[in-house]
Amino acid sequence: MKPRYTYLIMLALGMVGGYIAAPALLPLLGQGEKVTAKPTKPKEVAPTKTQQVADTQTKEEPEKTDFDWSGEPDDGLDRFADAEDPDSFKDGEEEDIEEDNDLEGENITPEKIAKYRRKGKGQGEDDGMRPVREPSFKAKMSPAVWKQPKILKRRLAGRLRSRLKGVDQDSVEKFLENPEVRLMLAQWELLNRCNLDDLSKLMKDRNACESLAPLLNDLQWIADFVYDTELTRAEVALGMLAHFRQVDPKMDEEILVDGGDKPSTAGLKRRVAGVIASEFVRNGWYGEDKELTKEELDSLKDLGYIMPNLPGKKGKNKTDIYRAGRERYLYFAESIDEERLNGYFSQLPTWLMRYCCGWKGNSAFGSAGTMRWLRDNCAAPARAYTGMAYQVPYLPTNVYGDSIFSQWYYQPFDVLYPDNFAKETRDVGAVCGGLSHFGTSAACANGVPAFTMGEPGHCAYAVYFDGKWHGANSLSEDRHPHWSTWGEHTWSALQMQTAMYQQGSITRDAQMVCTLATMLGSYNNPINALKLFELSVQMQPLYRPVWDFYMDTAARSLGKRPRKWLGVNEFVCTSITPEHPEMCSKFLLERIYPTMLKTLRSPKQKLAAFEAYFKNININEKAQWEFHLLLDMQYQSLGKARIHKERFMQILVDNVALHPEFCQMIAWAVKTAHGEGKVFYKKLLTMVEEAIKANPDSKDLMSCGVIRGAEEIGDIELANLWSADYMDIGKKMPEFEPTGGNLVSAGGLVTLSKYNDDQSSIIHHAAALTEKGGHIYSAFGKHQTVTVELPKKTRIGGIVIIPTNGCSSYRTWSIEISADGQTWKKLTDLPDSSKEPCMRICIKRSHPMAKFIRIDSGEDQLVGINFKAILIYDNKKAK
Amino acid sequence: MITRKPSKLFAVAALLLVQMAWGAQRADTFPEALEKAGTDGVIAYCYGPDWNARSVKLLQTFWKSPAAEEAAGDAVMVAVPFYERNDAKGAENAGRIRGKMPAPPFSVCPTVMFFDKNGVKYADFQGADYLGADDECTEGVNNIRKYVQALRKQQELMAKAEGLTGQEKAKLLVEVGKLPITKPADYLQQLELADPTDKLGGIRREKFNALQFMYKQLDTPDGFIKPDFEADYPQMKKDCLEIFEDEAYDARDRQAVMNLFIGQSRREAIQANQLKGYIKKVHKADPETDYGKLSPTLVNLWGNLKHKLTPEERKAAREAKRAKAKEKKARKRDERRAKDTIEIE
Repeated sequence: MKPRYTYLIMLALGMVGGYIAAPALLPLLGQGEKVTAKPTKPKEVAPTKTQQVADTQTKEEPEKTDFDWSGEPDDGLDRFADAEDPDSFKDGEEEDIEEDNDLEGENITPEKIAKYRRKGKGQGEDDGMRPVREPSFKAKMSPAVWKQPKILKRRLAGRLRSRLKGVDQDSVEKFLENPEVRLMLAQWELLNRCNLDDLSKLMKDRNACESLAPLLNDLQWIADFVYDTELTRAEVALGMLAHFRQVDPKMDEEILVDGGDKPSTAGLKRRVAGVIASEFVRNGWYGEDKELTKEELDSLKDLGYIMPNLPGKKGKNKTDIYRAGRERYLYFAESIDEERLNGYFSQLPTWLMRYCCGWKGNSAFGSAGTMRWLRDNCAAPARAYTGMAYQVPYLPTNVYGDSIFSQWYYQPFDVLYPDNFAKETRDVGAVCGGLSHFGTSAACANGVPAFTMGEPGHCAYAVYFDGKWHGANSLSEDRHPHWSTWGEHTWSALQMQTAMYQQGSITRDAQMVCTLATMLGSYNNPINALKLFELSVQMQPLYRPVWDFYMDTAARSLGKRPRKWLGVNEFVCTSITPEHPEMCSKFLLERIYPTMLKTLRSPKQKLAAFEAYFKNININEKAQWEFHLLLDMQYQSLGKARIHKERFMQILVDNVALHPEFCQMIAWAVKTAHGEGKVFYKKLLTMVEEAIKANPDSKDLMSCGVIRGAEEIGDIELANLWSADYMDIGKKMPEFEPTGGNLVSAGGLVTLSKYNDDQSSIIHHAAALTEKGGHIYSAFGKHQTVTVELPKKTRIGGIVIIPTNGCSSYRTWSIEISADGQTWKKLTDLPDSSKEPCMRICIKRSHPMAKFIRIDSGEDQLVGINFKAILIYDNKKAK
Repeated sequence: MITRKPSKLFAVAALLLVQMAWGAQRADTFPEALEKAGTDGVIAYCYGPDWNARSVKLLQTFWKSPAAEEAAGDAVMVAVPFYERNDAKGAENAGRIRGKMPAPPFSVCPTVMFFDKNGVKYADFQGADYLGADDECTEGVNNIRKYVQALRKQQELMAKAEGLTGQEKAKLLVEVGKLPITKPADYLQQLELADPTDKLGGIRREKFNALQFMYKQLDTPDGFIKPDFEADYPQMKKDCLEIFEDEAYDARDRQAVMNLFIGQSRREAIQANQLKGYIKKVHKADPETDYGKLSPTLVNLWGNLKHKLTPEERKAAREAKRAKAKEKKARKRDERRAKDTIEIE
């Protein structure tokens, strides 16, 4: 070969080499981009020295403790020989625990609550975005002890009672400092939530017992499992968990990232498994309820399938009840292994993981195929999920012209999207429900907490980031989560639970105290149980279930002693009302008032109790809930004496003036006072005027309350009187031509079928009946109506309607008239759509006589009324 | 034979030469990429360093692969991080790297975005559907090539069109309209000037909106069909077939229009053979689109629907239709009367 060819070949080789090596050399030359991210670690990595040391410390040498039952007895029960049986307690042993029969509600003081709250926040860890860290503790208990759960439960109780030195706060706090005690409490709580016979059957399966015991003896895991979930039918959840462990033998493997120094996902899959099991069982999401073939059963048995006893299920032992949960677990396990979830998922506390892992296990949007596609195609930072729904086009009718409400809408497309409903939805279209489910499913599939929720006539969703829930695709603040919080589907219950879990460590302690109280209660020690329940609510007043336990236990002690009831009422109002007035009102209505109001004979005492509620409100949020139930009950309990009723109104008005967002309560007061006669009515209005004088900033919203009340009772005079200051809203009206005749709507009264959350537009209703223009804004929904009551009966010559956002769509809207407000006659339909800024209806002949004019959006549309003006003219010659 | 080993210095020089040729394709920041951009523009890879491990992995296996560089041609490649949390490590530089680059659609990562040399986005794709499931993202590499070539083609056609007028220019512009990337800003104006009577059909293709057409046919401004809606079937047939048979329109638009007619035909319970014929026409128009792929399923689903109706049901359907028509007539009469007294503007 000639040398010049050699050089040519070398040049060619150099080019190829350079092509391959260029990316690697670019940084050396300063031309390549800077890569900030580190390479990901392969799945199986040998542990580093640091980790090996840590493992040795945590696994091989657990803390020395007398709770060491590692002697491997045949049935494990010999180990209990030294454990006290609560049944064999001697009287003397309980002397340490002081019993105080004179339990006073006043024991619970705001100072105590403040003390606990300071403690919770002072630790700087409880922002709700990190798991509660329990001390590292694993008991060396033989798995066999779990085979006889009844005995285990009794023995645990015995041990706990023997260690408890008192039920005062200091003793209990000291008691809880011991990790062994914490583990025993969590174990007892778990057993308390199980059907022990079924658990015993489950644990007799050797595989199940051996795979579950390491979890049940690990303080961090079991405490998260028991306290951060809403565990029901725990034995079924445990069966599911045992199955997950059989299906995924690598569940306990720690995934190492960023060079392998730090196991960032330590215990993550175990935590996820627990969450999925608890949520799927809580919601009753099992597999197909069908008989399985022998082959199917055999294949399940190969997967370590344990046949659970499910009461009420047909074809018992013939159904793969773990299928749905298994699919979900395998999805998350695979996503964790491949690091496909949002990077912050592993840091989520268990209670937040519930939303992602517990996302609709019974819906096509929750299938593994759908979630996998969303994970790989819709990965975004948490906050971006609030807009993810809009990937789906809003199409009430598909390309074949079939309505979304018909069976035909998705049917032709199903074949193109097997097990991927999200992609089908994105490609075919949907309305609000599909959009919101898409956004939620995308978030959950990527490990970002989210859930769907109902709003009037609409489906929205919420996403959690920056420490709170954010509404998405939302039209209203009247929200009803499709997520059950303590059995409720209210936004306020969700907010309260979120606030509770955000105070992580303090909540965990309160929950453990609640366990202790339940345990003492179940062993005939109600006095100390009551004290502990009381301590628990002091520690965490937002923990709703403990209140029920407390009230159940306290009922006998509180009896008919007014002072005690007032104390409890005061405590509830000071601890819950400030930020959760709706939840507090529900609790008062359900648990406190029914007994307390019978016990309190003096109206003065009642007024003091009611005032405690109002004066403690400390948020400025619109009252979206049924507050009138609370107000009605309070008001009616005061009897007939007007002096007390006036005092009640005074308390209400004064406090609403301080938090005017609650102005709907003023509307309630106006309506109620109207029913009490003219004098009372006038007095109330004077009270409102004086309250506004004292709090001038509240004037607009307080006026809204009065005007709304006036509108609801049909008091034209009052509504116009209070609207007088708001007749010029300062916005330019579009040019329009009156229909002729004289304007007769001015001085009339507007009423809406459903008022919008935003009450502030109510003061502009009167102006909307004049040519200067105002604002009429209803809630969103079907069949929305706005009714105008004219000052007097008139022959109608024409109507001009000026919508706020132009005449885009008024299909199916109609105008009706009435002389008495009872019998209605249709005048005309509104035009479908128009580019004009207003709609003019001119009546040429047969001018109808009317006092009421009603505009109705019809049954078919989901709309909100949003008008600048409704102008009604008579048929006379204009003056 | 005398052979001479090439010196190491020469090899390194050759390597550097090659590297410089390709090195020009990379930039540290988006503003820098725009400065360097040539006719192939800029291609940006959006990834989430603190929250999306997958996109970080693909940065190495896909974005930095020789295959991706080869597919990118002379485009300048830049990786742009999008952080979830501002306090994450490295987040302080994100703004500088991103410059004025828009965020990826719905903030999804990884996303590949394509910009011309002026920084105007002309295409993007995101997620496993377009990148492919493998770590090398074979599908993504093909897509990069596809869009870069489309940009070149567009530039070539627009350059040729610049010196022409009338139908010749219009022909080239129609070709531009068929490319799978965003059209130049003044595309429609140029087309209207070149072909004012729309002989080549480029203008109606550009202006056509299948959804609006459908809503008009179904007499609904917002997509919700009125409960008492009754289609004017012969008119709908005429309108739909007119568009379907005009090949100037985009194939998928033509199919969409025909789909509406097929749906209405099903609702009108026409003869099964006729319905099958229409469905097959959709398939023939372009078997590769989703609508084309759906055709065999539709034949199975709807092709035999008519035969499932019993004679009694058919009779009842006819009577119901007659009753509806009667009702409609009465309503129109009422409306006419009302119009005599009420005038709505």
